[in-house]
Formats: sequence, C-alpha cells, structure tokens
Amino acid sequence: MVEKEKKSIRGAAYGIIIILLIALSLTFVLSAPTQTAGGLTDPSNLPVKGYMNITLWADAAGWDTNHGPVNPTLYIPLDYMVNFTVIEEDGLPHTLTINKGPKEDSATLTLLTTGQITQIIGHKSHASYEFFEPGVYTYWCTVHPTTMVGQVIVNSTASNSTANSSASLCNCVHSNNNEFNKISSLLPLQSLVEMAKANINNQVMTTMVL
Amino acid sequence: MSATILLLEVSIILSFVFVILFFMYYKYLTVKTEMDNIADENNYYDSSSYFREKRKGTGALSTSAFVLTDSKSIGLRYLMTSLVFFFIAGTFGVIMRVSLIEPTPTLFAHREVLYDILTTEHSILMIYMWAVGSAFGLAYYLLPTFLKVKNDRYGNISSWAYWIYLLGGVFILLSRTSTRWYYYPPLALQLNPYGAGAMNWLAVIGMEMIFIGIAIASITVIRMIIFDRGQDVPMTKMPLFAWGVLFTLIMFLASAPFMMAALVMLFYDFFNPIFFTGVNGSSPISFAELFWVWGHPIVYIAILPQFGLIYEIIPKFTGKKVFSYSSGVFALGLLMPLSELVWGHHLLNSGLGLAWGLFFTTASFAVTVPSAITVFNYIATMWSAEKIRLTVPMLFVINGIFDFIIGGITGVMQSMLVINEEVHGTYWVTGHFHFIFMGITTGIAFAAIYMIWPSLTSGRKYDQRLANWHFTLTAIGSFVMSIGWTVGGFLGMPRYVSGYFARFQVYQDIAIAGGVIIGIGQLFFLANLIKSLLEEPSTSPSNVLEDVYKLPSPGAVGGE
Repeated sequence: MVEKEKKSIRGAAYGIIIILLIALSLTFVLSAPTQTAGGLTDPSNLPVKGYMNITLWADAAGWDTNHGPVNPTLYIPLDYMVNFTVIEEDGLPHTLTINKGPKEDSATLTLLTTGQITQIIGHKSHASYEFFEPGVYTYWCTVHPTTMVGQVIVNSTASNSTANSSASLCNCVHSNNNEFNKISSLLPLQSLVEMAKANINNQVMTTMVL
Repeated sequence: MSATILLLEVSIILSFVFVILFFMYYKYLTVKTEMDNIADENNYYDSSSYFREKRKGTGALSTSAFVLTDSKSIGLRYLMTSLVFFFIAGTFGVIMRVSLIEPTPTLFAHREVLYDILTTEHSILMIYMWAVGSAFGLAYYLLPTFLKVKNDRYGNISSWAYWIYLLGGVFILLSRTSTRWYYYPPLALQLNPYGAGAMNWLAVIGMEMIFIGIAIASITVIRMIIFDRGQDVPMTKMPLFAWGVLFTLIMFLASAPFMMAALVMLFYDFFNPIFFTGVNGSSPISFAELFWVWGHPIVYIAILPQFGLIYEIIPKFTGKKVFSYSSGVFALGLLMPLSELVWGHHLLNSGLGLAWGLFFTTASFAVTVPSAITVFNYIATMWSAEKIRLTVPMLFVINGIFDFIIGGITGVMQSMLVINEEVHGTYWVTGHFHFIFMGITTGIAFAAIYMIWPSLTSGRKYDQRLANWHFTLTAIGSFVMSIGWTVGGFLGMPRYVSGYFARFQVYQDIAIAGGVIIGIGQLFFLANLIKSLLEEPSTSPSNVLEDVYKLPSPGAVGGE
C-alpha cells in the first residue's frame, strides 16, 4: 500500500516538476535586464505647462510639414506636452524616433513604430511626449536614418513666457540656396533665441544664443 | 560589508557546499560498490542492467534513471529532460506569439529585447534539447532491444555526456542570450548588461558543452550500433531506425567540429577580437560559413532518426513489412552526404557569388531525391496494407508525412536562387521548418512516446480521448500556424522581430491562433501523463515498438 502511494505521488511529481520548471524559467527569462529608452521615458507626475501640436508628413525623402521645407528643426518650450501627428505620405514603413543628442545612440525612444505608422497613404498616427529636459534632440526615422533626420531644440526659458504654443514652433529653417533669405518668425516677447548654422548635411556647425 | 567579511562568508559557504558534495559522492560510491558486487555475483557485466532487469519499475519515468547508467536509463534521462525543455521552450514560443497580437509590441513595449531573448531560447532549446534530446532518448532507449545488445557498455561515459549536455542546456537558459541560434559575431560578442545579451559568454560556453555532450554520446551510440550488436543481427538486417541513428551520428561527427571550432574562436574574440570582427581582413561572414556547415546538418539530425522511426512504426499499424528496406537505407544514407553539401543555401544573400549560389541551389534540389524515395516508401508501405489501424501514433505519423511534404516543397522552393531573394529572412522560412519540426520531429517523437507508454509508466495505458485531443490540436495548430507564416512570409513579412507592419495583421493573427492551439494541445499530453501515472498499473510494462522482429497480430497494436 505504501509502495503504491509512493509511486502515484512520484508520477504526479513529474508533471508538477514540469509545470514548476516552466514557471521558473519563464519568470527568470522575462526578468532579464532591459534598457527602456535610456532615461528618455517621461517620469510620472511631470508638470505640464502647455500643449502644442506638431504635424509631420513621413516621406522617405525627408520629414516635411505638408510639402514645406524638409526636416524642419522643431523648437519646443520646456515641459510642454507635444502631440505629434505623423501622416504617411509615400506608403513606405517609417518610425518616429527621438534621442537626446545625436542619433544612433543606444538610448533612443521610438514614439511611433512601423506598425503604428501604417503603410496606408494618408493615415494619421498620434503620439505625445513631454520634453522635460532642455537641450538639443534628434528626431529621425530608423528605416531612413540618413534622409529623414531633424533636430528638436528644447528651450528652457521660453516656458516661463506667455508663449503661444504655435508660435514657438517657428518655421525659421531657411533655405540653403538663398543666402539673402531673411529670417522672420513670430517669437514670444521674452524668449531665448538660439541660432544654429548648419552645413548642407544638416549638421550644426556653430550655435549662438541671443 | 567589508571585503574580508565577504571573503569569509563565501569561503564558509563554499566549504559547506563541498562537504555536502563530498558526502553525496561518498554515499553514491558506497551504494555503487554494493550494487556492483551484487551484479557481479549474478554474472552481470554492469550493475545498472542487472537492477533494471531485476527491479520492477526502473524502466519507467523515475528518478532512478538518473542514478543507473545502463542505456535504457540514459535514454529515459534524455527523454525526461527533453520533455521538460520542450514544455519550457514551447511556453516561450506561445508567449512570443501572444506578444505579437498587435503590430506594435504591447506585452514587451519598450522591452522588445525580451522578444529576442525568447526567440533565441525557443530556437536553441527546441533544436538542441528537444529535437536532439528526444532523438538521443529514443535511440538509447530503443536500440539495445532493437539490436539485441548483450554487453551494454560505456554507461559511465554516456552518463557523463548526458550531464555535460544537460548543464550546457541549463547554461543556455541562464544566459538569457538574444543572439539567435546562429550566434552571428557582432551580436554574439556583445557584453553590455542590457539587450543583446548580458551573458553571451555563458551562452557560448553552454553551446560548446552541449556539443561536447552530444559528441561523446554520438561516439558511444555509434560504437553500440557497430560493435555491440547481437550475433543474430547483421548490419544488413538492422532495423531502419538503427540505420537512421547511425547516419545521423556520422553526419554529426562530420559537421559539428566546424561549429565547435568556431565557438572556441568566438570565445577567444571576447578577449582578443581577431577572428570575426573585421580587423586584419577577418570577417563575420566566415563565422556564418562555419556555422552553416554545421547548421544545415543539424536540421537533418533532427529528422533522420524520426524518419527511421516512421519505418518502425508504420508496420505495427499495417501488419505488413516495410515496402523496400534497401531503398529506405539508401535514401537515409544519401541524405547524409547531400546534407553536407547544401549549407550555402542559408547564405545565398551573403555574397557567395553566382557560381556558388547555383551550386548550392542545385545541391539543395538534389535533396528532394532521397526525401521523395523516403516519402514514397512510406506511402507504398501503407498502400500495400489491407487495413491500417488509425490510433494516435499512426495519426501522428500520417500527419507527419503530410506536413513533411508541404515543408519539403516550401524548403526546396526557398533554396532556389531567385525565390530566395524574395523570401530570405521572412516568415516563409519559419513556416517551412515549423511544418517539418512540428510534423516530423515533434509528431514522431510523440508517436514513439505513445507507443512505449506502458514501459515508460510501468504498465499503465494512456487515455485515448486525451491523446486524440492532443493529436488533433497539435496537428491543426501546427498547420494553421505554419500556413499563416508561409503565406505572410511570401508577401514579405520579416521574421525574428518583435513587431510587424500592420498590413500583415491577418497572417500574424492566423499564426497566433495556431500557436495557442498547439500550446493548449500540449496540456492534454501533460494531463494524460499525470492521469495515467496516478492510475493503477493495468497492463504489462512491455511495448510493441521494441519488439521489432515480430509483426503484430491485428487487434494487438499500439500502447493502448
């Protein structure tokens, strides 16, 4: 009798061991260290000072604002919640990825993936992000990293002003062709203006702050 | 905590561990000596065989298999661990499927590397621990009776090989690597704490240990087949399963050294990157080539023993002999050299050049010849029968042949130079090999397990209804999953990524449905195992499959 019971328990034990090992290994593997967007993720309870909308058209030739200048530099005041709207323009896969500093760092945050930016022309996809640290960011598409790349400049003092959110996004990227092009943009009264001189590859050569 | 205290604590813990280990070894040695003496008195060559034959219940799934070192016990070890790893890696696979429910990662959002880890663990554990492990388990378990082996020798060496192999598999699991199963260098050499694998070095060591284990086991099994056969079993009358295992292991020993050397070189590259990183004219492609010289034969290693097993299983359900023994041996033998010649078709997009591309394409096409001989041999064997008993093992075999035909045709298609341009790196490839691995490797292993069920459970029957559910869900699930991948892959759905383009939603959904169905189906197997082990023994612990030299009388077939 004792022998019989022992055998039954042994039989059930094999099944239980399998289930236990599955649970153990699954927990172990799923708890692997992962790097989540390298500090770009918004901390909770961030103060939101305002909202602004940015619409970008995704085209393999470059990001544009409805056939405007390609890869515009985005000026965003600090602590503003930015609602990005990306409109598919050419039916190719794109992503909207940002990073503090130059691109292709290990710490990047993909706001919109190829799955979200569907390859249906005219489809709009949305993502919001709050830039909580001032500095120069890069935004690009990981599928077309050489053509679809631009800069985001997050201004630390402009947020104190009575800035109109749409005014902060000035379309002041001027054409490289016309050297006599006048820069004109609507700026808040007291705001920090950062001028950047870029070469033809959109690499910033010098910057100055007025 | 100061360094001194840490050192002290570590040394105390270590000495305790060593004392316990020594005590265990002492106990083991005492028992072993005693067993040897008893076996010696009874004129047995080794104690394990004696105890296996004299004591009831040792042939079954029990812990004693991990102590005894006769071939049957070692086969049981391999079978038990391969089943455990099958369930672990299968869970990984199902989780992966579920995580792909939406185009953008949801379950692994911002932790996409977890998908990479899961896919790597799933592939490595399934291939090395389940496919190879179950093949070794069945070979060790069945061959001694198939070949009427009298002297069951080198059990200690086989036992060591098993432990090295098992430890390698555990290391792979512990390494949480994400290098994919092919270990391509720039990724495999990553040592950052995140993402691409915190402990890739451990994965390399684990893989090397798996190889060492399999190599030692291969040599002992080849030795058993060639030298330890009974006097009345000549080579020309060996069961086809023995031929399949023999060819497989020769193939392994001919191709594994490439990968073993490549892994050592890869490990050296962690410290001094000279082999595969691109300095001084070295190239990561050379690792890819070394890998695929091994990597193509491994996929044949996963199916050749099962091909042999099908030859053993079908006659048990038809009551007729195999249609053509000689062509069966010929086809299995022809697969061996051909599999060594086609490895380049995995690298057709890596710039081998047109001449090599055409060579590998042609060689891949030549593989259809032995495959077709084998399949037609199966069909002819079934055709010549008056009646086929369609119970679960036979259903698994028929489903396996069906899946192998689809998987084989898609495989030959994708190794064509032109079509490869279209489907390289897409889910088409995944669909192709899941057809074969689910149909042949997994299906036939389960068919064999069902057939030796009474022996495994020391005289219990399996529940027919649960087994039928297991078969039905596995067959339907694997077909649905693989066909979703095959069609989606032909349209360009890239594989090995944690997300997908939204236009492939429907194919991914089909595959998710199939994957979940397979997962549920395996639970029926587990339930069946636990249920029958909890029951009282109701039949003799012998099985039909092991009795190869006698065809069954109608009505006494299978392990039910």
